[in-house]
Amino acid sequence: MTISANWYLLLAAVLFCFGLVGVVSRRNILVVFMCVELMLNAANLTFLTFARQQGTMNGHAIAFFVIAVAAAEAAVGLAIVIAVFRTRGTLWMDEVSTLKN
Amino acid sequence: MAHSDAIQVAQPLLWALILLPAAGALVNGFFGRRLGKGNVALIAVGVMVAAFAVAVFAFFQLFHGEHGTVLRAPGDVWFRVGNTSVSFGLLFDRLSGTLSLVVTGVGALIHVYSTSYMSHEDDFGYARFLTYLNLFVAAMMTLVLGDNLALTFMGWEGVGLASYLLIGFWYTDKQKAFCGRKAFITNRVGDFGFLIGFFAVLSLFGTGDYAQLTQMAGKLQGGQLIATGPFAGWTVTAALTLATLGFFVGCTGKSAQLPLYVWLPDAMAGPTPVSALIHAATMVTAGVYLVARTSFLFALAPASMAVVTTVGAATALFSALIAFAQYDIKKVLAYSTVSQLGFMFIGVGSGAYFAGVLHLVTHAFFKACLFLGAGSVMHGMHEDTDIRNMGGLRKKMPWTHLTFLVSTIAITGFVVPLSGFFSKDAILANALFAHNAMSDAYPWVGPLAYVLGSLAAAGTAFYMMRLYALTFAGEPRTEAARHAHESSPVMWVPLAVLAFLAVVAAVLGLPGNWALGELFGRFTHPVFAQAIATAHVEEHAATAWPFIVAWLVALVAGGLGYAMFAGNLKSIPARFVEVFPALTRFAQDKFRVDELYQWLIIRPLQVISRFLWKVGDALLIDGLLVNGTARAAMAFARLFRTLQNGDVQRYAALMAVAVGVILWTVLGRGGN
Amino acid sequence: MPTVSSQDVLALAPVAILALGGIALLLSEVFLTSGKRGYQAFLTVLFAATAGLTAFGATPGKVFAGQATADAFSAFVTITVSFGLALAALVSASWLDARGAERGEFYALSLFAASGMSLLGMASDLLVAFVAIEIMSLSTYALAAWMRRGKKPAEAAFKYFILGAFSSALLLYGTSLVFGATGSTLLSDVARGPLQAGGSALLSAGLVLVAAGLAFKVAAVPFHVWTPDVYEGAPTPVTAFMAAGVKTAAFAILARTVLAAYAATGGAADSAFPRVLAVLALLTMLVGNLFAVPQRSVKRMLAYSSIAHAGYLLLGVLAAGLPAVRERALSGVLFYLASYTASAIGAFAVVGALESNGQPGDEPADAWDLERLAGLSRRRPLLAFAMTVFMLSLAGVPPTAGFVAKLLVFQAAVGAQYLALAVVGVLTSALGAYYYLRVVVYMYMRPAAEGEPAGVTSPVLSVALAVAVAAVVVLGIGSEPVASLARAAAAVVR
Repeated sequence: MTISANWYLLLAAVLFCFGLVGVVSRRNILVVFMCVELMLNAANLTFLTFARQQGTMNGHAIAFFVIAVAAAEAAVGLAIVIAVFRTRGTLWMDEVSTLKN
Repeated sequence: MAHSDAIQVAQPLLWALILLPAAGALVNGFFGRRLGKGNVALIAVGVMVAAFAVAVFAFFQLFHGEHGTVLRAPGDVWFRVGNTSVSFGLLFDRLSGTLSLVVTGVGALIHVYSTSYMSHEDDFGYARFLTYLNLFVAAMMTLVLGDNLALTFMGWEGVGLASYLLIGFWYTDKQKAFCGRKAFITNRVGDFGFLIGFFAVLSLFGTGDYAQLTQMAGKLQGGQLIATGPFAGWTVTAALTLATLGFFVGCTGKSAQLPLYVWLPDAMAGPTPVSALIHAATMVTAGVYLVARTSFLFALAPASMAVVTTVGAATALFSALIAFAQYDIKKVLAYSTVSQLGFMFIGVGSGAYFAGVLHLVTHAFFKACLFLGAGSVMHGMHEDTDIRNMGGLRKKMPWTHLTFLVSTIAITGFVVPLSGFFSKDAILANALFAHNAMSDAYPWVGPLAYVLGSLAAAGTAFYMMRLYALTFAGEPRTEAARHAHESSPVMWVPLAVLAFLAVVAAVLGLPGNWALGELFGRFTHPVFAQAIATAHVEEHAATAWPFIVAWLVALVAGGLGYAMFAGNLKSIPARFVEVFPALTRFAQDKFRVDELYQWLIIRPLQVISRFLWKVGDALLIDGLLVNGTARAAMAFARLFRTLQNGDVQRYAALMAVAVGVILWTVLGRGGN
Repeated sequence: MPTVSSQDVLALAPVAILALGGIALLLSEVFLTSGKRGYQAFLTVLFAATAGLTAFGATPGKVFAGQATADAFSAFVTITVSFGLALAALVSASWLDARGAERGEFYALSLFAASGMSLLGMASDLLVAFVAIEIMSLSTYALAAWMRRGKKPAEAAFKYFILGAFSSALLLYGTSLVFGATGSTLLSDVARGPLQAGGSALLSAGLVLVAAGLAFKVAAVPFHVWTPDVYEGAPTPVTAFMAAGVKTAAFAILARTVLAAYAATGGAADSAFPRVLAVLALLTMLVGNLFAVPQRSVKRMLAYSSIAHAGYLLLGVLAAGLPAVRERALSGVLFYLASYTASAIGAFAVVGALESNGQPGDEPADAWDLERLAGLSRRRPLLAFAMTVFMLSLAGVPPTAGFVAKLLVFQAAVGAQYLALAVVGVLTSALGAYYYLRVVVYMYMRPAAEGEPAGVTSPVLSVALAVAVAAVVVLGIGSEPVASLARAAAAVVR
């Protein structure tokens, strides 16, 4: 039985929300980062679903682009995370709040 | 257009007239201290001479073509507001050309004079003085050359600033600084009137450009009704009366007429070259220039013409009377300036535009000469200005004496070939005999102006001869006078040049219908043609008797003046003071006008402002609005401060919440 | 089968040149023989200038099947960004050199960021916009972390990265929803509205998310929260470049997107989008100005003021929604961006020149305190004068560029019937005058603190400041040439 597109969309939306909540609440920097990636992938899933629905190749091509960009983002992001780790010795989110007000 | 002058574009030429003095001001302003007095003087005088040369060159361009030429430097648009655009253009026609020559020429001479007069200042003060002088000339040239009201106003404000800086030049003396402030503030009041006029013109015509205005005004009739805009339902005459009266209020400020003349006598606190350049020859004539420039607007408003004429005449007489009792040499000359400016306004107010401007030119020569001469006298008398301490200086300071005498005769007009006679009497004769829109509407104005003007002329002769007599004639009355000495040639050569010009300029105003007759009138005719046509100023036959009467009056009054203070009637002034002590004191106190203003305007303002301070400001505004707002802002800030606490996740949460709220707004409430 | 013509490639010339420049500077670091790196800044300026010159190369029109638009609008953005890059490179040179941190990679990253900004100015497709934003952002995240051994820059970069990635994810998800509703990511297709009638909710939701992502980049309230921390923590020359360049590019794409969104949703003045945008503009103006007032740190004050300026720009974008006023509003926004580039980079440059050289990245708490500026007019008169010009321009005092810019934007706002917002704008500008002029007061009327180091002096920095001052003054007095260029640019935006 074919699963209707709407379920995929719902899944993607749920993943997105999980990612969002994770970004807001998790205490480990790497986990937060992973949640951001989750959000990006939710968007990817949405693209693919709509592409399937519309029958064109556009959405698929877009997904490739997104994957490439996400990879680059991950590279830079992890480098920054390393820099943070080197200056603080920990990956605890609470440590990263000296700049304020 | 009433005149068919060809138009020539001459951009760099005209801009040089403004930029040369401006460059001089910049260089001397920034580097003056390091350059040393010699270089500073060289630069300051150099740019002035260069500017004068350019002005002369440009002036000769005006004579090309059969009907002469007008030089324009159309500029880029400066800014645009709605449909109105203001541009940077310059206009050099016969009127602004004449004034350019006067400003740069007399200005150059005064700059030369200043290099010696101010030489005892320290390097910084010297450079500062010459910087301000150059700045003034740059602003004055902007005023004169601007081809639209906005640029003229820019120059108007610029000369006001320069005047403030120069009057209060010795600002460490509180009194002198106060005089600078008084000048600036009084001028500001006048400027408010200018702006009203400017805005009225803008809303009536949509532009401030003189050429366009001339064209548009030429198609209007006085009685026409205005259809649209803020003046809807008004007649053209009524609207233009409002506009031109606004301009004239500005003129009473800048050109020291009743009631805003009070700053000019106090402006004598500044160095004498300043009084000569700004408060005699150029800045104060800006008002006369403005009326001449917008003559085509005044011509459509006979009521304004009447106001200008009457105020000019009244001022002329009023300040002449004050001058009778002054003992400060500069103050006498200051009141004389106010009085002569009154004459100029009679001229441009009553349709004799050329006569008013001609008097502007001749006055520049002899008044500058008189002021510079006074400066020379002050140098010789160690900065004493009280003429009671002088006397007999004709033997001690021959060149100063000679030039001063020539200029005095020029201003009084009792030796006929000197210029002041012709310009002044052309004004008065025109006022009496004029047939134009103003005389049709208000037939009493002309004769009134004639009477008051003649009395003022008599007064002029009297107090100038008094001044001459007390300063130069007779015997020295004090030690200082006995030890007085002539000034350096750098100072008296400009005096000589100015005196020479005062004599020679007579040729511009000779009356009559012959080759040299009414030279200036015919020369400037194209500029004023439209105004003359609109106000249907009619030519009148030149008769000799007004001139003869004027000459006799001047002779008698002048003779009396001389006799009473240096001649055989010396006892009369003392008797007069005995018999009329109160009157004398009243005149000496300048008719108590300053005190009147203090009581009428300044004290009530202070009372009101103290009330507003205690109640309005402290209580309402400070307590309620300011502190209340601050408290509200702090509460607002405290709320946000909890959000901006450095925690990334709180930031992300805030953003997520915001997105949620916006989504709800856009989707939920039926928004599309 | 869509073809790629030479026209398309030519249109991307500025982007390509900047990217090439980045690569060239990367390589220059590899092949470096001596320790001297002075030429790198000049090389960057050269590339920036070339990119600016080629901005007008291609014939105006849509390229790459409508995904990018090379017109006067994008040319204006490219030129402004290139100018900002050139200034920032010159400013960075001496700052980095004084801390021994100058490397070719820095300039390479700046050039890559600029290429992303230039591409963003041309983008008329949401995916291209996403890619360009990512190019721009990744480079700026790395730049912000340049002094990575210090606690503050690392934290600033981290915050920027996390929140930036978060907002990019929002942007992407929104794009996917838009894609679903309209079948394409082209803005022109978006403007045509949803494919099916039922898709309008999806489209609106998508557009809201896209707008949120863009609002983050632009620092609109309440998406502004990263700005104060990141601007303060990042190295000052980087902040300068970020403040000017990112804003310029982001507003360009925001303007295009907002116009498409209006067209898609009917654009009636009482529909939800304009109201939301109006509230955003209002909050941004208020928060930016109110929070700048109590700041003692000049750098943080400038950060909040940058938010305030985003508010005024938002007002301009809002006004562009009304077709009758569109050209005036967009030209006002463009002119504002140009003037803000010059003034902000200049102001940050002066702040950077006066920082104390602590451990790289570990400045003391009062590194940017107002006290450091006290008496500057006596110690370094030219620097004080330059700072005064920048403060006056940011405050909107005539005859500087900032005044003309504010005038244009407020006029457009009034013309589009947003009278109340314009009034708020003027009032908050007056508030702004307080904290800007406070700097001037400290410089001229407070005595210099004892033993204050005079800070970094460098001829390159002086040249950059002089150019910035000249730009501000020239734009203020002779604004007409640039303003008409901006009008021409605005006219081509549909």
